[in-house]
Amino acid sequence: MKDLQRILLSKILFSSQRKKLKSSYILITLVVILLVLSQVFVDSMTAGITKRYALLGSGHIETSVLNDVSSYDFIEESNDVATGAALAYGKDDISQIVMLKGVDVAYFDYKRASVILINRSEEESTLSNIFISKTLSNQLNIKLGEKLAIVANNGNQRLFPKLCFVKGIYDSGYKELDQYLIFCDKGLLNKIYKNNVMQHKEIILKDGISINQAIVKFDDDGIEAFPWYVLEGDLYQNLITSTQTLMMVFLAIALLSGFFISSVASDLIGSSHRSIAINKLLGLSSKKIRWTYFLAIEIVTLLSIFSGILFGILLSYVLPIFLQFLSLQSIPSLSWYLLEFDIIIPYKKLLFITLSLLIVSILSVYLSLRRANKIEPIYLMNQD
Amino acid sequence: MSNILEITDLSKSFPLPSKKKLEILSDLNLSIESGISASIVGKSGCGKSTLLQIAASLLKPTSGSIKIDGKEISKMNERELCNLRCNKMGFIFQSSLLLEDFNALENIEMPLLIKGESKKKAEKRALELIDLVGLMDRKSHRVDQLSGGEKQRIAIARSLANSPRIIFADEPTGSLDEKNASFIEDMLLSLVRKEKTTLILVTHNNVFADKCDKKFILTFGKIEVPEVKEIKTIEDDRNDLIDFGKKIVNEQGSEKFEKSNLNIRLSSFDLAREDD
Repeated sequence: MKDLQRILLSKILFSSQRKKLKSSYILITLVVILLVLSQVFVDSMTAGITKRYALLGSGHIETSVLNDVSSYDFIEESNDVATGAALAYGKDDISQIVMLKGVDVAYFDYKRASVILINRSEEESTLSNIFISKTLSNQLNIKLGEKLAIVANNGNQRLFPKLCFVKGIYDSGYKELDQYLIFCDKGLLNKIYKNNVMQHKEIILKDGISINQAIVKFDDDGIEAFPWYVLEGDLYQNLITSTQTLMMVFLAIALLSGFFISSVASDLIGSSHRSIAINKLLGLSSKKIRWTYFLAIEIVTLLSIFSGILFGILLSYVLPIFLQFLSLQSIPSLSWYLLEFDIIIPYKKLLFITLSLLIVSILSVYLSLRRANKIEPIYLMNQD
Repeated sequence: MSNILEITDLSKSFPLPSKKKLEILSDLNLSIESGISASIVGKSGCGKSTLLQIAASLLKPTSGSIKIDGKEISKMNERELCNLRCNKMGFIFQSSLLLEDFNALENIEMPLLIKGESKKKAEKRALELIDLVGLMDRKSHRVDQLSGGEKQRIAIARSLANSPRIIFADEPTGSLDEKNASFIEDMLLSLVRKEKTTLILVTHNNVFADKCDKKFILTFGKIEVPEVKEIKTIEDDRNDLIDFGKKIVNEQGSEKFEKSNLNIRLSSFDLAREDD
C-alpha cells in the first residue's frame, strides 16, 4: 500500500494538478509572510515602546525614594528622580504643558543612550540646562542652544518662572512618549518646587526578570511598588488592543485561508472526478482516495506555511531598513508609530499561527474531501 | 464446471418524472460457467449494458440476486465491493478508461498496487502483460500519446493484471475501425483463454459475439434461449492465430504497422504452445 500511496501522491503533486496546487502554495505562503511580518512588527514595536517607557518614563517598576532596594539581586539599576508639571513658552506665543523630569548626571548611561539620540550644544550657559525632545522642539519652534521659558506652579499658589538653556535635543523615536517630556537636573526641580517636589525611585530590572515576580517580591517585603503598565495604563491598554486586533485579523485570515484551502480541495476532487472513478472501478476505496488527496493538500499547506514563516522571518530582518525609509518620508501619520526598534521573533505566536492554520486546513480539507465518497464508477459508464 | 456468475430473478427499473417506472430488466436469470467467454447481444437500448453494470457491481438492481463466485454482491458494502473488484474482477469498456497522468506501464500496474502488491512485483507482471499485448516499446508513453487501438490493448492488459476470475467488457472494440477491432477481439479472447479467465462481453457486434464460447440474446429485458455453441479449445485458438498470421503476412508483408500485431499474435501463440 505504501507504494500505491507514494505513486498516487506523486501523480497528484507533480502531474495535472500541480498548477492548482502551485497557485495555492504561493497564495498561502504570501498570506503567512504577511501574517508573520505584521506579528513581528507589532511585537517588536510593542517591545520597543515598553523598553523606552521603562528607560525614559517610569522604569519597569516605580517605588518611593524612601525604600532601599540595593539588596535585590534582580535589579539592574535604580535612579531617584523628581517630576513636576510646568508650562513651556516657545516662540510666536506658542505654549505647551510639559513634564519636567529631574535626573542625575549619570542617568543617560549606555542603556538609555541606546534608545535615544541626543544632540548636545557645544555652548555653555549660566542658565539651567534642559534636554527637550525633537517633537517639543518643533512644536515650540525652539532650537538647540536657545532659551526656553518655563512657568511652574510650585504648590504654594505662586507661579515660578524660569528661563532655561536648551543644552540638548533628544529623539526617542516615539512621539507619544517624548512630546511632553523635558529632562533637567534634579536640583532645578528642587529649586522650583521646593518642598513640594514629587520624588520616586525608578527601577530597571535585569534581563529575563518578570515584572510581576519582582512586584510580588517587593510586596512580600512590604514595599509598595507599581509596574510601568499600571502607571501608563492608557498606553498599555492601547498596546493590548493592538495585539488583540492583530489576533482578530489573524483569526479572520485563518478562516479565509481555511475556506480557500477547502475550495482548493473541492476543486481538486472536481477535476479528478474521472481518475477517482477509475481508481474506484479498479478497487480503490473511498477512504484511501480521501487520505491520498488529504495528504497531498496538507503537504502543500504545510510547505506553504513553513515557507511563509521562513520568508516572513527573513524579511523581518529587512523590516528596519524599510521602516527607516518610511520614517525619512516625513509622513505625518507615521509620527505616532515607533519606527526604530530591535526585531523580536515571537516564536510562540508563530507556532500558534502554524498550528491554527494547520487545524483549520485539516478540518476544511476533511470536510471538502467527503465529496470523493459520492463519486461512483458508474459515472464512467455515463461518460462512455 | 461451476458457475462464476449466477443471476436470479433480476429486475431493474428507473423512475420516470411521471411517477411511472421504466422497466429495463425483468425477472432475468442467467448463469455463466467459470473460465468461458460469454457474449450478450441485443438491440440498442435492450438493457445489455445495464445488465453488465449490475453484474459488475457498478449498479444496484431493483430486485433479484447476483452471485459472483457464490457470493451475493447486491448487498455488499463499499469495502467488500472494493475487495471484490481488486481481487476478482477486470473491466474493459468502449473508451479505454486509462488514467491520463500515468504512462502505459503504470496503468497496467495499478490494479496490482491497489491489490496490495509491491511496486516491484506489479512492474514485473505489467511488463509481462504489456509484452503480451505487443506494446513493450510504448511502455513509457503517456496515455495521450497512444492510439485508440493501443489504449484498448493497454486496457486489456490492465484488466488481466490482477489475474481476475471474471472480466466484464462492454463494447471493447466499439470505437475502433474494423481492422483494429478484429485484432483486439482476437487478442482479448486469446488472452482470457490463456489466463483461464471468464469473459462476459456485451456487444452489438454479432461477429465478435460469435467468437465467444457462449452467446446470449437479450430481448425485452429477458435472456432468450442461448445458442448452444461448441466451446473453443486452446488448440482452436492456436490454429486461428496461425491463420490470422498467415493472412497478415500475405496481405501486408511484415514491414509495416501490422508487423507488431503479427508479433503479438505469434508471441501469444508461443505462450499458448508452452501451456500445452
